[in-house]
Amino acid sequence: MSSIQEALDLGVAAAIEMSRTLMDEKKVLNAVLSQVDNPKIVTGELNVPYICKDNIVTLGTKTTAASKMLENFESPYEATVVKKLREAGAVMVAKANLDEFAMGSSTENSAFGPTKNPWDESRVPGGSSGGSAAAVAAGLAPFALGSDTGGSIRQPASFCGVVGFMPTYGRVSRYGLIAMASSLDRIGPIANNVEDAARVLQVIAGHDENDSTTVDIPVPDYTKVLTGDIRGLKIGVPKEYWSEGVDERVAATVKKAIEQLQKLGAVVKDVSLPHSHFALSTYYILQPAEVSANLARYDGVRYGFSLGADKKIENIKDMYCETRARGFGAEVKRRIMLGTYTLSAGFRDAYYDKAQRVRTLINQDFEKVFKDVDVLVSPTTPTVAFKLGERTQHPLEMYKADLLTCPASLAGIPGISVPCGLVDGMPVGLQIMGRQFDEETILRVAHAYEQSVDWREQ
Amino acid sequence: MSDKQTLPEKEVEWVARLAYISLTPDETKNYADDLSRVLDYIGELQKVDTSQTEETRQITGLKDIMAKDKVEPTVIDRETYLEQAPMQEQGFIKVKSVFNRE
Repeated sequence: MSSIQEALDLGVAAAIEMSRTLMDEKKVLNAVLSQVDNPKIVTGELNVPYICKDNIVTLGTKTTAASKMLENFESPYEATVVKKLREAGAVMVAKANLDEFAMGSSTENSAFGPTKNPWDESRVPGGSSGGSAAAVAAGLAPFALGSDTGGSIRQPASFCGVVGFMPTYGRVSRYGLIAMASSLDRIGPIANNVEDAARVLQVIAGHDENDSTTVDIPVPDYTKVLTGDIRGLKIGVPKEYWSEGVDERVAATVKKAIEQLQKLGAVVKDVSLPHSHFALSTYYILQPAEVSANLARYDGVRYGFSLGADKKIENIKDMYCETRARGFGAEVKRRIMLGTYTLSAGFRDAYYDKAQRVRTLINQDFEKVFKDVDVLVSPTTPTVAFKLGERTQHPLEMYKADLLTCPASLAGIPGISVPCGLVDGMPVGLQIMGRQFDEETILRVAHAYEQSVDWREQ
Repeated sequence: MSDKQTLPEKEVEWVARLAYISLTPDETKNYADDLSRVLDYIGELQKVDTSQTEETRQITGLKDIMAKDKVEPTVIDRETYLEQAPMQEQGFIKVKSVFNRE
């Protein structure tokens, strides 16, 4: 299914049927972890099937976070976004694969095997929302939900040639999103086109009493702004986003997209975000630190995987240590330990507190340029999708896939990735970032671009 | 690998103890390498002058967000919670002994 409209035209029952058939046909992608057996259908404006990333809790299916720790976990409650979509008529048909607990940039950290890129099955789909992006790219459903902490919606969307949207921090409720790094985590849509992303955002956006970080301000009509008109709009091109390992052909493809925006009447100017270089380091201090705190709850006592019944284990401390050793995968343990170290007595000032200060500087860079320009544009990722296995032995190289997406994550601002061309037959993403709570402008720019070119010909 | 290791194996063992994760000797060695490389990389932040900069506490500037002062029954009942527990007995979650028998 190539759009929400196509699914609506098919009718919900036929669309669900088609979704099921395609999921069976494309099992080789390993994009979905479980299917919903008898989904309830209610009518509503978004009466189409969708796929939900498996770190968002749902009723009637398992929620595994792609971890052995939650392999058999069935949530007793559902996430606010899932409830809102259900009430709008959307029908969840499957849960999507991801990097374990959303930690990773390739979906290779899933305890249930990697997802493959539908464009080239020898390549990764990106991550951590790799299952969601691959599912949409392969047409398994007209849209999927993902979560983005350092690039986990935008980067896989870029790798799979689909649209990935990260709303402002606090625009969409995270109640029911399995917490990883709470000052950064966000939920957003992955779709085939910008209008579809806007339609999903319309349903899931808004204040929620159950998530105290959501902001109680009106939700605008996101589809109304998709006029195609961006004349006079000021677009900034941050000069720091084109160096440091950004593939030349990826850069050239994105520069061509920026020229297209200029042709559409936007005013393009060069700007500087001087602290961009430090965003990745800042991110890889704050994110693991928050991970180490959030994942302390997986101790084998209350729910999830446990070695509590193992007779060889004699006391509770050994039960904690063994449960966590066997329940978590290598990357999750790596980050928990990194975070535990940077938060430990004597190191906290030098790492965590320092990173929170640099985060302020990164945010001030954005606030300053947004006085001059309406949006910022850059490549979404330094390279196109890499090969499976290429970076698994080099954690730091894997982390660098988040180089261009993590600054917006740290600043709490919204960002979108729209496909803008091909390099080596693989999709390239154009990233558009905007002011906090100004989702409308980046949707408008992304839509105008998308409607004006055939990106596969770029 | 360089001879300099920012995080020696002994310290990895200490961190793993703090994080309640048991490691095999091989894992300890690998994590010492991986974490050292990452720590070397993120150490670049020391170059940034933050002497005049406050820490970010809440990125959209929210503060003093309180829940309503209202008592409501929980949506999920006690039995449902208990069913999730790996071990339970007589309505309680059961765990391994906290103190060793002498």
